[in-house]
Amino acid sequence: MADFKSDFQRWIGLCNEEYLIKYANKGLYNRACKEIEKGVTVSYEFMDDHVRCALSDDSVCLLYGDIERFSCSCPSDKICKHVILAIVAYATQHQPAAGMGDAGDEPAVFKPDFGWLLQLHPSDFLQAFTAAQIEEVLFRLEYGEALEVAETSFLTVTLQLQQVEVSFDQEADLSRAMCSCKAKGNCIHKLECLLRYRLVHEIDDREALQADITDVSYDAEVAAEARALLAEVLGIGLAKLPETVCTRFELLAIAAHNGNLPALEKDLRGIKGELGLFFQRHVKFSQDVLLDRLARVYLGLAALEKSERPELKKQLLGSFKSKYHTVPHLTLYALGANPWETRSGYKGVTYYFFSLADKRIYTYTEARPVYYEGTSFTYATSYKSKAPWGGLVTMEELSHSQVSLTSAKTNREQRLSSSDETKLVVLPRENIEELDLGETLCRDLAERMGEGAGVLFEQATEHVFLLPTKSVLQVFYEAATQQLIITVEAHDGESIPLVIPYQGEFDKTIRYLENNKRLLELRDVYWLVQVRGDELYPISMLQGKSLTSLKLDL
Amino acid sequence: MEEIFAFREKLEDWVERMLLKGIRKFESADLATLARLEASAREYGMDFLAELIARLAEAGGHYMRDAKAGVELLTERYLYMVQYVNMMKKPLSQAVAD
Repeated sequence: MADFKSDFQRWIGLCNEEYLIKYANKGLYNRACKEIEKGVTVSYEFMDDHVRCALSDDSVCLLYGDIERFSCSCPSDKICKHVILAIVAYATQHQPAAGMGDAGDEPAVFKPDFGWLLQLHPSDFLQAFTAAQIEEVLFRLEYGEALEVAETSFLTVTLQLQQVEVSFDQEADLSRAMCSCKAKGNCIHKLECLLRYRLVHEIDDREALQADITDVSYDAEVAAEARALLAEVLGIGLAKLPETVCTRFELLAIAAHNGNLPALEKDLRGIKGELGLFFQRHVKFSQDVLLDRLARVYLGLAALEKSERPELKKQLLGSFKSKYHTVPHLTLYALGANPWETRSGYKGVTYYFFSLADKRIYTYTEARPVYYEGTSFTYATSYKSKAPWGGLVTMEELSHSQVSLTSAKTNREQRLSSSDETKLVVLPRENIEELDLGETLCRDLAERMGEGAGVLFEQATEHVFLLPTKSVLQVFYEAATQQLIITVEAHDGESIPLVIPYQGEFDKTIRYLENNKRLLELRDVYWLVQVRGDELYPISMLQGKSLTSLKLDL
Repeated sequence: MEEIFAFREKLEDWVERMLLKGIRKFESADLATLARLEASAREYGMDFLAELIARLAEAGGHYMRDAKAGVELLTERYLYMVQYVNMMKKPLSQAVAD
């Protein structure tokens, strides 16, 4: 009983105004205090595991030294005025006694200990949260957040940008944490606050959690079958290969899709397409491309069989359509827009933005398939159409402005989604020269040209950066290669050719650029360029607050 | 530089010929070609490539003695060489352009 009494007193020390209001509410707490002022008294009788509190208004309640366990003679099944009264009265009666040296009594002023938050193991999170929640939070951790930590009776972590606060109890129990979003169960904010709090204390759970939620199971039978089919193609040789092999590739691609082998699915279809071209004796068929693909897929499958580490397996397996996650806040500086068309029959415009906080380039793409008859898509109408995220501005205006996005959705490749939840506010545009462009600014061109080739077994990614230049040296149209070459001078004096291949649709633009003498007068311009192979394709020019997207604004 | 370019073309030719006729048709003439390619690779100081070719030839010899057991190893080593040849293309074309 002595144990229970000291436990109880320790708990009472924790029950200050803030604590009780958090668990009950302000109204109940105030009413309980008023009753005490009116003269209601309580007598306490200690039992083995509880205290019997008899109030002078004839109600009786039992307290167990835990805010979630109590009972009262009144009809309320939730925490009631009487329970609060009994706690407050005990605390006020016994507080002065603290420090009087009453043997066995702990001092009533008790400092809660939140050490358990730092002692948790990543595996505890896996039990409390779903894999989807963990994935989303891991993604959010890549973005900065203003964190405020306050230690009172609770440890309260506030995510200021999201305006969410989570309070952790001193009891080592995640389900007792309270979030201001009021969602039932363990919400995503609890996990985010917890992981960010641990990060502040230099405990980084990201790698361990990432490894745990990464699903690297796949259908080994399909992988083995695919390898056997590739060996068969190589063994028989193209000259004697029957055309039915294409059907086998398609069937295996479907099996690969169901067997959680996304990269293999794509590659098998690619090989099937290439073999199709071979059988048609099509001019586009290339032995190089086919052989490269066969080698990459075959050796990739061999590596998959041998690899043990989940992150390696993940890389080899590839991923299906990438997931979009919500990022609380992004400030974006428009860098220009680029219209494009693919051989597979898609047309679209990609808009480029520089994010001031994480110094990376984000893109937003509007694209349509144009292989159906009757689908019309023109760059001009798409450019003049309303922007997503509230529709306050047109895409053209958006591509020249600086905006703030709240609740933007983006994926791991920094592609923005047109989600309705995202809200846009237009900000005054800063000068490009005054921005800290981080890695987006090209300082060493040779180094940049080598990037973006992709890790072994991964597809190359699109690579775009800002190139600062001193002047434009020469503009001319090269008839042999059918491309406009703009030679610019970098700050170190090096001359760099920027190439715009001829396209009928942009005939006027190319002529305009070729004949416009003012282009040669430009000084200290930033060019947004895209690397493709050994060449640099210009997208837009930036200077001060102004911006010109070459193919859309001229 | 031109000699290396010609050597690379010979490598590519052989690799592409194998793709057309099929690895299962690997024969003693291929062994002879590989031996010549290996010697050239050593001459140009491309020891790693020479090693790849030597191991491919070794797998080829093994395959010719025991077709069933050797085909997998031969395929794998052939593809290693394919990847090396593909890797060679890029820097060489750049060097030639310069």
